[in-house]
Amino acid sequence: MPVPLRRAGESANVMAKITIDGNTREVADGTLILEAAMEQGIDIPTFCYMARLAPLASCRMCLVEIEGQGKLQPSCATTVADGMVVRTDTPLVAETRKSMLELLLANHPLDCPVCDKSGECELQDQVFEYGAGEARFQDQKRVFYSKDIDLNPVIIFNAQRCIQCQRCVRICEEVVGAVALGTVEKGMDTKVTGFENSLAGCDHCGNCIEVCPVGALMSTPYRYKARPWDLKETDTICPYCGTGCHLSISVRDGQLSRVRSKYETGVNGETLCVKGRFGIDFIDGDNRLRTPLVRKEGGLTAVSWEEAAAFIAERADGAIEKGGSGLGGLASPRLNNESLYLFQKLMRTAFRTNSIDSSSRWSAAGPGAYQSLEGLFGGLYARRSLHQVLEADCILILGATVTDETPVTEYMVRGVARSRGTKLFIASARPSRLDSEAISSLRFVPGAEAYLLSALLNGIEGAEKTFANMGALKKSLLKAAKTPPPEFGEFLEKARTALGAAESVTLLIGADLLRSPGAAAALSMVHGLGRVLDALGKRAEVQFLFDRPNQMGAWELGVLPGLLPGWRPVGDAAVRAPFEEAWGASLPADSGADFRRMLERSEAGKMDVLYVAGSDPLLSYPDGGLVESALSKARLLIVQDAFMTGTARLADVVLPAATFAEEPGTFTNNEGKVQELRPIRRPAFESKPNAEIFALVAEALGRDLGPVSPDAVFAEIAHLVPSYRGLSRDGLGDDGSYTRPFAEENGGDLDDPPLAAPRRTKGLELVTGDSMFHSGYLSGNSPVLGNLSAKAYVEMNPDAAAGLELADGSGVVVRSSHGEMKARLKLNKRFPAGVVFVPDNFADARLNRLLKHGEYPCPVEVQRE
Amino acid sequence: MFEKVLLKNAEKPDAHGIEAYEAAGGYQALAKVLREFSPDGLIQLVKDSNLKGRGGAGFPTGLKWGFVPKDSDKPKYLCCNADESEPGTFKDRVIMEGDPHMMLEGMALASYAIGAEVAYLYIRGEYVLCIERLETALDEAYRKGYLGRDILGSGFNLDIHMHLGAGAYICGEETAMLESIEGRRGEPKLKPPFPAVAGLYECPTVINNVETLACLPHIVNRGVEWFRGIGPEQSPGPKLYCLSGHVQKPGVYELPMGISLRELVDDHAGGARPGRKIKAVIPGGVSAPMIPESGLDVTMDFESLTAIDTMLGSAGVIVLDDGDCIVRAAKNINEFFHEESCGKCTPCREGLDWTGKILHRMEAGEGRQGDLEQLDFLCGSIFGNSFCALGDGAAWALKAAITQFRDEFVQHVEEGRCPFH
Amino acid sequence: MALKNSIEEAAKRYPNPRSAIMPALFLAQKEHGFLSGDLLKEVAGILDVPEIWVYEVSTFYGMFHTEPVGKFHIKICTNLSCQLLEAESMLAHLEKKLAIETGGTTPDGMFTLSSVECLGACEGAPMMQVNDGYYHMNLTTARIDEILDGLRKEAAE
Repeated sequence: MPVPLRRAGESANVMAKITIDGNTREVADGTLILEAAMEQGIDIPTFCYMARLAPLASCRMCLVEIEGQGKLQPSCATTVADGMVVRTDTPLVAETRKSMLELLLANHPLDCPVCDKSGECELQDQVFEYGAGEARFQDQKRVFYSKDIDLNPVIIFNAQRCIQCQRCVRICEEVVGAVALGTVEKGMDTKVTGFENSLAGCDHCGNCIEVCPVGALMSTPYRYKARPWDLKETDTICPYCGTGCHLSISVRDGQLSRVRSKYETGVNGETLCVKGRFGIDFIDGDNRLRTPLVRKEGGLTAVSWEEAAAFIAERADGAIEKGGSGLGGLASPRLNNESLYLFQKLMRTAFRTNSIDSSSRWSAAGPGAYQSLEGLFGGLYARRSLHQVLEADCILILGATVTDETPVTEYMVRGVARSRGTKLFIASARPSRLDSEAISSLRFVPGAEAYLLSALLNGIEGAEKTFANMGALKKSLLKAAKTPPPEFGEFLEKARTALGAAESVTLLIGADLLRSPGAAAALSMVHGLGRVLDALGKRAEVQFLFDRPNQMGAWELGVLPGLLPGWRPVGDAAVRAPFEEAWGASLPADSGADFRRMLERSEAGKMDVLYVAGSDPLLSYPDGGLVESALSKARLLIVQDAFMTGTARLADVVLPAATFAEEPGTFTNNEGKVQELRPIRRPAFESKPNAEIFALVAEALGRDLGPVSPDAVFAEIAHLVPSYRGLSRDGLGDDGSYTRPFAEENGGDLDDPPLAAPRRTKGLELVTGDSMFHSGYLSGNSPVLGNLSAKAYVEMNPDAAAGLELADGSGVVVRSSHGEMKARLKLNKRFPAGVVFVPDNFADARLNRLLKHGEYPCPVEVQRE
Repeated sequence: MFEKVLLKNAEKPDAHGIEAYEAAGGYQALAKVLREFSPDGLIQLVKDSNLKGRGGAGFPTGLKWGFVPKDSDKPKYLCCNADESEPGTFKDRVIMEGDPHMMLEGMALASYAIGAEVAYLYIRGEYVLCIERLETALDEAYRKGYLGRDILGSGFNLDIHMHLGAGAYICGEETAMLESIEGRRGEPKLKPPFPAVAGLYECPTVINNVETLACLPHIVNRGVEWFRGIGPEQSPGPKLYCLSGHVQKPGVYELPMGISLRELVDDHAGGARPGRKIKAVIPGGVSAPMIPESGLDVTMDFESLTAIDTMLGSAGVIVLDDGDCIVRAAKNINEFFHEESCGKCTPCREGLDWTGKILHRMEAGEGRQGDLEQLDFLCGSIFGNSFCALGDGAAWALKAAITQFRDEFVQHVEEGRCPFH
Repeated sequence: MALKNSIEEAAKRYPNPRSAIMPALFLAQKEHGFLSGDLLKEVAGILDVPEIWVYEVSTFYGMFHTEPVGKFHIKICTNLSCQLLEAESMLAHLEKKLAIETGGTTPDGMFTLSSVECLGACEGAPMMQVNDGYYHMNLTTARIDEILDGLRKEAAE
């Protein structure tokens, strides 16, 4: 629920007595009259007002009478004063609303029959409620263009309909920060538009369309498709990143029509990013798998579900009998909680292996990494609303390019930085728009995160005294980073001061940190940071900014080698007991292999069964050559997915799965909040919900996976997993429910991680991840997103490019010691000289051929093609 | 004969250089204030003088200066509003062309009073000669040490920067001007916060008109008693009146505040054209409701004109005689406001377009039954509901024209033509 | 680059770069005659501000031209005092002499004719301004013809 972020300066303790329409109440000082009226259930019409935006008071619809004031006053911009008497129900106010509407209608084209907004148009609604019954204006209406303008492939604009509320311009500047829309000309010629009448360079987030009260800014994919009353709308959660935005997906006659966001709903309110708003059409992508496939003489052949299941049983039985390390499974953090839970249950009870992993970035699977995570998720991790977590004095973002990876989170960080004066610090490899809101930004290549955190801690006033209580961590804290490298310079100084002065600190960690070879050490140090700040009497909170929707779910539900659901080690018999009882099976006690080791075994010809669900390691896992070779050598490669991916093409069995929009379930987002997914339609073609497929496979293997209905599975999770205890699916509510910390605050022993100092490299270093338009292979299947960003690119600093005699847009080859790829060059003056970025989603670019497991960033050369 | 104060040097040719200014006693006021007055002392002096702003609003200058918070550690700014764009007004132009140093000295005094070390001179870009003269004057003032660091050894620093307006009447509105200096569209801002508390770059800012600032050196040099002795109690001081339109001797006239409009037009500016009688006079720029001939005995000061539901405003006096069509004049004025509207708020943006279309048809002989009633409705919807004074002014002026000369409007509609052309 | 230097110089007068957009546009327009899209982009790049901010300002203020203008831009005030003093006749005279409509440019690119709002010279009505020159006040049709001749001569040199 978005909190009005504007009124930072108000003291909520001071009250003012205000009388509105005869009703006297006390409201917090600084409240707007409009909001006080809304709280009282009094409806005041507005166009230009939006809670999230600074007041504009330009539409003049909200004018009210205030006793003692000669003129009517805009209630959206006037704060209450003690003793104020307001009337919203007088003839003058009614007359004025009528007049304003009549003025707006004077030049507004009578387009309702052909306007997409008809039926959900705020102008229609207000004219109906408050307007005159006839239009007296009988002159020529002003016309800007005879045809609507394509501002970009997803936004189309009818300038005549615009009522100049400026919500679009303001949301683009104040919330999204893109500053792509503006207002040109003046007076009656005033028009909102992009530079040179184009929005070719904007984020394409479509928030401007969402907030437009009339049919001026419209969605091109939705244009002329439907009337609002034809649509069946379903509320669900976005499958792209861990912010967990609420989506309202509309379907007409079974066809996806559009995706909207809703005011005051979900963590995102009325905002979304381009992926959530326009990228859901991936569910109808060309690559959807239609039937089960089995590899026969002629290649992958369509078969029935029964045949596919039998095929699996036949090939897998022997391996399961044999036992040992020849079995393994990889699941995607895009799968819902119920599917992930059943997957690890399937692997453990039917395939009898603990070799389970989720494609959660590469280096988190280092020794000890998961133990660090347990401590983190036990008590330090803030399982509460991001809005509240952002209300800290100081926010430190580490290893995340928030603008691209979790855009809606970025809007919220921008909000607090601007309205609360929050001290924001960002340390990341790539620059982003959020840098301009920060006190200091450090261009920081992954590897030395623990070192950076330690250096920060060492410089906070009073911190050193607390080190004595930090257990093993004390050693590295005391020895490290007394004289930090000059690269950290000003950032360190400013951050130390701010952290020292702050009463509350929030640390947000991104996916790039998890790719880093120093991830395990970094996570230990995060734990240490939390402890030290806590000891200094500060409130310290941590949240991840995952770039996948259910990473929290995947980790907490045991999609990890060696850990059962709830972070408990599989080797402990007491830990296994309740699961063995609930599942009716004895569980293997060895800790199992992570995906790296599964690949190694497979490459050595020792992998009998490899089950990949929802993931495409051929695309994204580093060491593409090894991945391809290893997957090919697996004796039975089962791939379960909605799409024919590169990995699926290597499979022996392909099982077509439903997309997130076609199966019920839940996601657990970055806030640790469980939110319900609701299907918008039945699974396409012959695909089945993931849970049902796991049940089918289990049955073929002669095991009963137990009840697989979403309610039953959730109940089982709530019973067995401490952080889900007490939750129920029907108790989730519209806003979801928070999981809970399962250990004492910051409990557990801290270990002493190795601190790697920042390396100084001469050449270029490649980093990867999501881009604004793409996130893994999912977005590539969206026709709209695929059109907006069709080809791989290499992003680089212009001076560095000039030094290599490379021009913007030119074709280049990027080479590492492992492999090479081709792409076109994209210059970005804010990029640091030594870093290049290639998004990881373009299959034909084969980026992962350049990358080596355990090495990140990847040293590369860039040359003309 | 009223002894000129503000136009004393300006009326002499080539008296705009610093030598002439100094020879006539220029920059003595600044020296005196830096030696003998604290900033608060100067504020009190100006409060005592009862000087009212000559830009149009008539707000007491000393009082405005006093609103600047003393305990703020933000930089303070003085802005001189030299965006003179109110039709019928050209007094600031005459001052800046003829006596630029007088205004600069005023700016320095005002800056000292409010603690500003940076002042912006917002001057309309079309005033080319003024700009040239001011560039020279600034140069001269810096060279002689009246501007810059440690002025006259006092420790007071002041930099004055010129910021050119680029053709937007609305930037004469103080918050729109601040937006313009900040590089934005000149759209007025919400008040509160008021500029004195959060103005330019969210810092305490005072905006003063050219003529207001020009009065300051004289108040310092000759004292409060002298200033208050000119004109009426509540609006004292010398005043520049701009006469134009159908009057024999258009030009700038410096006379005491409070002179009667009839005396101003007939005795000083030569009265109506030969063979013509005065029909109406606009007293303070086109935002000010016109006064019919019968009302010309009103005195030209803030209070008296407000009392008859018009205003002194910018003292841009435009004379219409019995050969002039009021509808045509109203159309011209309306077109001006419509053209210059920033477009932000509904009533001004949409309302003035509608009134403009009606007035256009009326004057062209295509007026319809109901048009006049629509004009009444539109004036009523715009006035009091606009975001700033532009919409209000346009509606106020149009309403007055219709009120005073409704017959002419009716005639245009009924006869289907303009009787004057 | 001369333009870059002069813009950076102007920007020093303000605490943030956005404030320098108006002076930058004056400088750019002076050098190039009008403000093309590329020129607006260049200004935005020099000041490091979003392009749309520069675009907004270039269209809001009447003195900035985003389309080419004739060598001599003749601006006649047609506001009230000037209208009373026959400004429209002066305008009509110019339209006839230049054979263009108000708002247009002569085919040889020499003259653009505009009607503008009050230039603050009402005591000298009717009046006009050519480019960024001093005002020509108290116009008559004869005076206008003289001025046009003078401009044509100036162009020939």
